[in-house]
Amino acid sequence: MVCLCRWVSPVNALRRHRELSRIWASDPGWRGWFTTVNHTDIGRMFLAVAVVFFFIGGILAMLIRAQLASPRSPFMGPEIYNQIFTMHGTIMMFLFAIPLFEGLAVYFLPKLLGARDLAFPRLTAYGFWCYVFGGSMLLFALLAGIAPDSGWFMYPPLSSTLGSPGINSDFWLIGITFVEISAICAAVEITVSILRYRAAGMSLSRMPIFAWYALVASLMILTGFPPLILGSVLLELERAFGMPFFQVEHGGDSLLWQHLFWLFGHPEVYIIFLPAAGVISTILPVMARTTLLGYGWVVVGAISLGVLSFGIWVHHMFATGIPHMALAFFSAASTLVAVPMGLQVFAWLGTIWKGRPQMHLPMLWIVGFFATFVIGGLTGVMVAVVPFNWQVHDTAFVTAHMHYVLVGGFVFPMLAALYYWMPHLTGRKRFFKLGETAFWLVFIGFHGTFLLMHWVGLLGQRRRIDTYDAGSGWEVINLISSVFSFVMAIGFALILIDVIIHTVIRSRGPRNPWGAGSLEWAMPIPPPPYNFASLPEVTSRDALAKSPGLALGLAKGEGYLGTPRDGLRETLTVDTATGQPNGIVVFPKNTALPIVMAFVTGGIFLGMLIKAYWLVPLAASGVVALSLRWVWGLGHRRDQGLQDAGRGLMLPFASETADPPGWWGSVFLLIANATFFGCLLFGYAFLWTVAPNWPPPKWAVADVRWLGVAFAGALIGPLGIRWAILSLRRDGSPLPGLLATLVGVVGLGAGAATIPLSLPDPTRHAYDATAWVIGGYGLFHAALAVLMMCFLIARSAAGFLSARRLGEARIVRLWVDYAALVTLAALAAAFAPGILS
Amino acid sequence: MTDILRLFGPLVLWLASFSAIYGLHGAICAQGWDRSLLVMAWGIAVAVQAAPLLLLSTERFGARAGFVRRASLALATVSLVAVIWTLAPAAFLSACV
Repeated sequence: MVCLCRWVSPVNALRRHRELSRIWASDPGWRGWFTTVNHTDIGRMFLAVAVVFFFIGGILAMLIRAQLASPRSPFMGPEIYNQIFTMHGTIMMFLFAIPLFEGLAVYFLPKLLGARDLAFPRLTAYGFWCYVFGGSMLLFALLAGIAPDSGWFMYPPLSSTLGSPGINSDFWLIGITFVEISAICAAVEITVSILRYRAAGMSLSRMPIFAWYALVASLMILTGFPPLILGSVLLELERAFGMPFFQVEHGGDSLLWQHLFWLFGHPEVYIIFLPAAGVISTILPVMARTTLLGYGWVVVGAISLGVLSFGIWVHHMFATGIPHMALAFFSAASTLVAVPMGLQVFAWLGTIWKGRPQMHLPMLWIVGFFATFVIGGLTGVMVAVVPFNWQVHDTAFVTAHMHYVLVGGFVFPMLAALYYWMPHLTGRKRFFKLGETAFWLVFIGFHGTFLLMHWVGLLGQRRRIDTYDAGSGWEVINLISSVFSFVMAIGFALILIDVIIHTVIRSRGPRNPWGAGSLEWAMPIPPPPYNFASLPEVTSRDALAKSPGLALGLAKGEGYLGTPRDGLRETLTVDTATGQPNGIVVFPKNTALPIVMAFVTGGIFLGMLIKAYWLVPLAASGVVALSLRWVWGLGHRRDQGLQDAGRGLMLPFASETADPPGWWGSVFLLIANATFFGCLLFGYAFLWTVAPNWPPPKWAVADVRWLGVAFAGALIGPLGIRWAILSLRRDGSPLPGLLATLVGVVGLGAGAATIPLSLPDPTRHAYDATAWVIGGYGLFHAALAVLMMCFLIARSAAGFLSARRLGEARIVRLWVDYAALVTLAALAAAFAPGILS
Repeated sequence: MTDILRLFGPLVLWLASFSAIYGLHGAICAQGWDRSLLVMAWGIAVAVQAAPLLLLSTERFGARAGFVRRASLALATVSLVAVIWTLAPAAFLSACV
């Protein structure tokens, strides 16, 4: 039950709507596109751009099928074909699937969770613009005929200067890393929002099931993407500066790339699938007019799937000559992951069984998902078994399996989501019934294309081949496959037309057309920029189902924060476990800062891409300056005390709590960061133990004096910041502690700098190159800590810190501690071999 | 946050054991160490993985909320099964062939 009975805001509903709309609206006209930080706007923009990339990737797929429709096709040569198939995979994986999830989560999560926006609205906008700029770099490469051409997996030496001497691979390595900033931003954003930005009373057990899936997927992005970012950095360093991470003759190993890539690549499949599973778990019960069967078990299944998927990456490397025992480890893990997957499928089937399903269009897509994904799952178990894997490795069978999993497991559920939530996006109902025709064209077209591809794969057709000879026995199969692929393409075109008609024709729809129980329908549709006129308190998982009058009550201001205050954009934060409200967040207003910062960030990547290295420090300085501008406007110079949150509840501003949102954001960003560093150490250990041509000609020799400075810094830095926080708590001056910390982190930097200084030539051996990167990583974090300390000292002098306003100091403490830890680890990694030998 | 750790912790522990034993396997093959180390490591991993299951079922370390308590115990059980199943080849297969 939702209790809204005791408290009524003094402002009437219409006035509240007008006032909140004025506060939350984006800037008028074209300017609003570039300055909006509202999650509804950014979510729509994310979704629209991702769909554009889907159609671009789809056109490339049609070109591939046109080429393979007949033997010895003169349609295109291998140079162009290689770019086309590489960009098809790259676009679909990096520029469509992940951003579509981000867009969906950005748009819907606050609405599902009963909040007014995500945790860091400017970060959402920054991530979006990084995605747009990074994706544009890759599109430019495609149009200019210099697109990546080494496959979406970019294996060296094919992708190194030996196999790809042009700029093609650089576009991939640099462009994708730029885009991945967007993924990391979104993951931090989504994680913190789910854990802290929920409706009052929304405990973990009452969270919408989509939020659980989004939480797992976001945590997976935070831990799954860093290996690929690391791999891209290392490969680009090798290509640009000759640091031999993947060159066997200098102690490198190309298998290191495969490890790093698949450490990302396999979880990536689940990062794509889990949000789709969340969509199914949300929509299916509504379509079946019941509740989800086994909510708790589905949560257990999602978490199990997420973590177990990190123990599977080597099953993409079964044919690389890895010892049998290692193969068996990963084969066992690969089969195990089918169990939580099966658990979810049975929970969905049980939900259909206990309900009274209605075959609306979203349900049609879900049925299509079942038929397709189960086949993909079963062929997944087949390729998890080593002997079978060896037989079909690198054949069209694997291409078919992958498409069954990704199209069946992601695209179909997302189309269910499109038709389920389209009324929410537009406030209109469907006019024509084109969608049903489109479904059958896509469904039949898909199976006609890819079912046959299993067959031709078993007959021996390799993946990624640009042509084949007549008489191979593959001709008829390929021709039929290509014809069906065009049937599928017509289906997707019809969906686009259907959406355009839906958007253009003004046929007003009801507020909750499906009779759903989740909170996103407890608002006017299309949604106003503030989502909820007042924030709900929930006491069950399906709040709207339990209280059909909820939307009206919230519009009347019967929830929290129903009275607009001083033009502020406000929402609640809650305790992670219980959902008890514990703070009021004030969001920033519209600003061009995110797009400007994304543009300047692009300068760093562009400088590296075109080898204009002078641009890199210049753009990096710009990013630093803009970051300082970004954070300086936060917080207060005076204690604000408790504020009226409505319904008789008094709460502090989040900036006056011990763990403000920025602290949570830093924790999760550091988790991603630590994963990056962990992968770097793994790579080092891998090269050391597995790569030929080790040990290196010479180990680094430590200078004991500088080691002493670093150790002293690692002690003084963390102690100093704690001293400063303690002083603040006692209403004393934090300055002595802050200055001590500054000295400490400078010492850390000096210690880290000794690593590259002791190895003058990073191109000599993979050890030297790796030690440079490890040392550079430590130096970067020490420099970051120095910057943060200078900022904190300035903030202290300007009066932003007090006993109540400790949050910023606690955030910096996290980064100082981390800098100390990684510097010590870096010194140990670089110098221990020399000391021991 | 503690409840989130209760839910994710046991499986993350499995992932750490899994990665560590895979790393140990690489080291054994590179250095020519005795493969009985792997069997021993597997035994230790199973014993360590039993700890979260036991701890989470106690009043002191287990969650108060029924949902998190049940889910965390289920996940701890999954983790224990995972460590037994995925690392079992350590006991039965030759290490470096």
